[in-house]
Parts: sequence; structure tokens; C-alpha cells
Amino acid sequence: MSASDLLAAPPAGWDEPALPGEPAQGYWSSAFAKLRHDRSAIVCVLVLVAVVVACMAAPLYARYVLRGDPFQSNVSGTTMVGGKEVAVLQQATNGLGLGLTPIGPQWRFGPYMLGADSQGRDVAARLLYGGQNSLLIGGVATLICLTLAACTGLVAGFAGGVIDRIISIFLDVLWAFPIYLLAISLSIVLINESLHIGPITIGGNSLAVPMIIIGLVYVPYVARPVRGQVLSLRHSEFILAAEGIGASPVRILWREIFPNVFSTLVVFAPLMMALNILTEAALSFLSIGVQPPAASWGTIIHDGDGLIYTRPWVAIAPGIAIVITVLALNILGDSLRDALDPRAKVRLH
Amino acid sequence: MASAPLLEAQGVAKYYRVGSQLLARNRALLRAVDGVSLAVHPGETLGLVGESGCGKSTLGRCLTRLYDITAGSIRFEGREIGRLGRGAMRPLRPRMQMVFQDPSASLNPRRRVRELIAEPLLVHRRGTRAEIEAKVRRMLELVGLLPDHLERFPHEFSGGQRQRIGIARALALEPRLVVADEPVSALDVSVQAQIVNLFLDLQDRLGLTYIFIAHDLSVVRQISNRVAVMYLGVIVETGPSDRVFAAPAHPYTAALISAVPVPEPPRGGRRGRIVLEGDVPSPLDPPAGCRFHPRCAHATDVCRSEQPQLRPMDDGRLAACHHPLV
Repeated sequence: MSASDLLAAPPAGWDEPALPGEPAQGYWSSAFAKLRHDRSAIVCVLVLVAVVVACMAAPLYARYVLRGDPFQSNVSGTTMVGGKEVAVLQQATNGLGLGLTPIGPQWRFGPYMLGADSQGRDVAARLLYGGQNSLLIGGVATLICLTLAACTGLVAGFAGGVIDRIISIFLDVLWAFPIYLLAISLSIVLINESLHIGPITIGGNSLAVPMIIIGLVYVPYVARPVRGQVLSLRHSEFILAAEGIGASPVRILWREIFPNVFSTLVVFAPLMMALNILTEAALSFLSIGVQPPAASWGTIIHDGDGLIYTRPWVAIAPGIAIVITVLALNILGDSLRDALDPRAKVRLH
Repeated sequence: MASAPLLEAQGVAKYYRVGSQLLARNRALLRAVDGVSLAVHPGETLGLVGESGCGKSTLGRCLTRLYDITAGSIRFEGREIGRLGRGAMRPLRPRMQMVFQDPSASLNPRRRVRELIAEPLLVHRRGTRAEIEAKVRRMLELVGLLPDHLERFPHEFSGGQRQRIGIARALALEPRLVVADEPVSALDVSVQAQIVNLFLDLQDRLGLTYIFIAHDLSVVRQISNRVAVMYLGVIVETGPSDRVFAAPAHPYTAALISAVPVPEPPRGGRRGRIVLEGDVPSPLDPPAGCRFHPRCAHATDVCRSEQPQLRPMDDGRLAACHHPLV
């Protein structure tokens, strides 16, 4: 009979193609293997590690090299230059001859290697301490942003209906604001009126203020793509299969959908961190981010603003620090996306 | 077949609203399943056949209540489940499981085989960690996979092996009813045979009841005790497989059977192939009367005006035709 001929059991020992003998490679381990062969990614990671280590070493520099406090103004201080004692702030002699000019970069490892600012404080020490704050704010803001974006994106995409509408409208409204305008208005309010969340009070000069503001304003940038991805995953067959097993919605969201969205969040992390560092610098430059006497790369550029003709390095040095860090984070983000996207087989060299 | 049916459907319908929700004149009703009644008895296999888009997959998903039904009733183990909500269905899920057509879509790409097969056991809290691990290994062996496959991801397998994982996952909870939705149509013919044999073997060993959905008649003929032939959302003929295949009562069934390729066609000729004219009409606007009449060679006036009901033929099977062929 025709049908059973067609469906007769194949001869013994005849089976589907055997699997290659190599060990099972997971999604993350294969992505990691790809990253390890990506030279630009390795360079970026090394640069970032160097930046972080240098900033963490700020207290060592202040204590053993500078032997002074970079947060105290040092208007009448002196330092040794070529064996002679020189005032950190000197009366200007050229040009208009008005005011005091801080000592310029010494270009050797020691005190005032990058010069002093208008209050006679060591720029190099402030650059390192400021870097701590810039990286900390950038990092915490990224965590806040990704956490909120993951929650709202997952819930909106999965719940659908009214809940999705409400969350999406909130995100759209947030997105409709120009980011800096929103951040500036929030900052001005929060710096003048300290923030009260239940029993916790966050003062206007706390680092938490820029962290929260920067963490909040970029939520839609991540939440929208996450929501879109969840929307398409929700109708995939393995979600239906999970329902057929009897899994609860929370379990489906957490065990079936979240692992598929997580790589998106990982790719966004360095990109958002770069954006956050830039935003922090912009707010601090406008004096509505990190508040004195604390420093960040943005506040140091602000300090250098008035010295731009005589001592440009006060502003240039933190500018270079920002460029290096942001560039490394962006390139790392691109490499991560290449490594995590299984469809991106073709690479341009 | 004196026993009570394991699953019994009465007038099950599934309509979808399509088109603009704002403009009433653009609104339409897609009748994917339009009043289907059937029964499956413990231990038997009901084959559900029909061409693509006839509503057989939708019907399968309605019967397992993955979809809500628009009308009708479904009784499972004597209990009405047609109107149960998600939460109320959950305790029943272990007893009715589904095997999907495309295992690469129905297995989460980010989870290992071990997790995939353990998931139903974890959801229903079946035993301790060690018991679940042992059960996962037993299931793997049952479907013919090896213990080293446990740590692998679905994309590392061939289509047939993936379908074995899907079957292991469905059987882990020891269901009574398995609804297999075109489980072999995405596979190579040689692999199809292995999976069909696996289904038959598992039925023998575990006493399973199947609803086997397929468009490939030779597969259905091999595995089913009874078949139900669907056309445009309704069942046009149902009865014991051997009788339906030997002498179809409905012209549509006859056309389907004549379309099955034969290994050695008779020389120089047509072998009574019935070629249907035209396409399947849209389920948005099914033809009046018998849904098959625009394509039927035997259609008369009564076919164009009056929808035939399923009626018992002389040999006990049911057919919905005004002019049955037997």
C-alpha cells in the first residue's frame, strides 16, 4: 500500500544527521568568544578600565603627589617649579593686565601637571576626582534608566490594551520634551527644593539629584524598543506553548520573554552610559548638575570657561577625558551589538 | 467505542473581527471555525485534515483552550471547559498537551533542552529537583534523544530532533490527550516517518489519545483510527479512516484523496484524479448553501441554497452533503 510504503520505518542505524561533537555553546558564551576576537572592543575595555582605575586613584595622587587638598582654594599658595618657589596665582602682566592668572601646565608628573584653576586648585587632581563623580553618575543613571525601561517596556508590551496605552502615552510625553530642557527644569526645581521620597530626603547638592534626573529622562529611548520587542515576542509560538503548559503570565514574562529582551538591555547599557556622561557634563557645565565644592568633568569645563584664552587646558583636559570615555563606550556598544546579534554574520572590515 | 468521549465538542465556533473598528461598514467577521462538533474517545486517534486555511489549526487551539471560543461547548473528561478562564484551565493543562507544527518557533531559543523539558514539571511543581532531573532524562530517552543533548540549545538540533524535544516536553506531564498540530509537515519525508512511528509507539506504551492535525493524507491514514475532513471552518465528513479513505462520501474528501501522490502511477494515464476548479473561498464571505458548491462537480440548486448538515450514512459515518457519493 502506498501510504505505508512511504512511511515505512527506515533501516536500523539510519538516523538524522549526527550532531557535531563540539561542546554545546550558549548564546552568551559564543557572544563572549566573538568579543574576545574583536580588537576594537578589547581596546575600548582596556581604555575604560584605565580611566576607572585612574579616577579611583585620585586620593593617592592628592596625597602623595600633590600633597594638598584639591577642594580647598589655594589663592596664596606656592609650588616648586625648576627649583624655585612660584606663586600658584600670578598677577597678570600682559594684555589687559587685570586679575590673576593661575599657573599653567607643567607637563611633568608632579603637582600642577595640568596647571591650576582660577582658585589655585590642581586641575589634574580635580580631573580625577571629577571623573569619579562623572562615572558614578553615568553608571547609576544607566542602572536607573535600564531598570525603569525594562519594567515599563515589559509590562506595556506584555499587558497590552489599556495598560499599554497609558504607559505608552507617558513615554511619548516624556519623549516629546527636548531632553535638555526637561533635565534643566527638573534640576532647577530639585536643586532648590530638596526631594522628599517618604522618609528619605535628597538634598539639592546631593549627587543623587543628577543621577535620578538623567536616569529618568532617557527611559523612553530604551523602553520603546523593549516594548516593541516584547510585542513581537508575545505572539511567537513558544509563548503559546508556555501557555499550553499552564505557565502563569508572570512566569511567561520572566522566564520566556525577559531572557530574549536581556541582550537588548546589554547592548543599550554602554550606549546609555555614554549618553548619560555627556548629559551630566552638560548639566554640570550649566551649574545645575554636580554642585560645588564637588567636581565633575562638566564643572571643571565650567571652571575653565573664564580661563579659555590664558589657560585653555583647564577646559580642554576634562573635555578630552569625556571624549575618550564616551568614544570607548560607544565603540564597545557597537561591538556588543555585533556579538549579540546572531543574524549579523556579515562584518565590514 | 462505548466508553465516554475524552473530549467532546458541540458547535464550536471561532470568529475574528477584522478590518477597521471605527467604520462599521469596513468591519467584517472572519469565520475561522464555524460550528464544529466532534468527539474523541480514550485511546483513539482522530485525524483532522483539510487544506491550508481551512481552520484546522485554529480548531486544535480552541479545543485545548489556547484560544477563547466564540460559541459552542467543549467537554473534557466530562467537564465543560468551553468558558473556563486562563486560571481555571491551568490545573487541567497537564492532562491535555499540544505539539506544535514548527518546533523551531515553539521552543524558546534562549533555553537549554534540560530547561525546556523541565519547564512543565516546574510549572506544576511535580517533585523535587532530583525527581525532575530524573524525569527529564527519562523523557529524553523515551523520545530517542541522548543525555548529552541536555545542555544544548534548540538551534543545535535538526528539525526532527527538535520535534522530539517538543514531544518530550508535551509528554512530561503525562497527558491523556495530545493535540498534535501538523507535527510532521515541517519535516523531511524520511524524518516524518520516524516521528509518526514515534507517535504510534508512544500511544502504545502510554495509552495516549491523539487529535492529529495534518494536511498530508498519507500521514493521517497511517496514524488515525478516525478522520474528520474540514473545509472552510466546518467538518464535511467524519468516520473510520479505512472506510473514509476507501470510499469517500463527500466530493471534497474524494478530491483530496485523489490528490495523494501514488508511488507507481498507472502507465499512460490519469488515475481518476479529481481536479478542483478555483480557490478556497474567503472565510470572510463563505458561499451560501453548501460551502463547497462553487467547486463541486455534483452541485445542484439545493446545494446553492441550503447548507447540508452532517448526516449518518448507511455505514454509520457522517457526511455533510446533499448528494453523497456512497
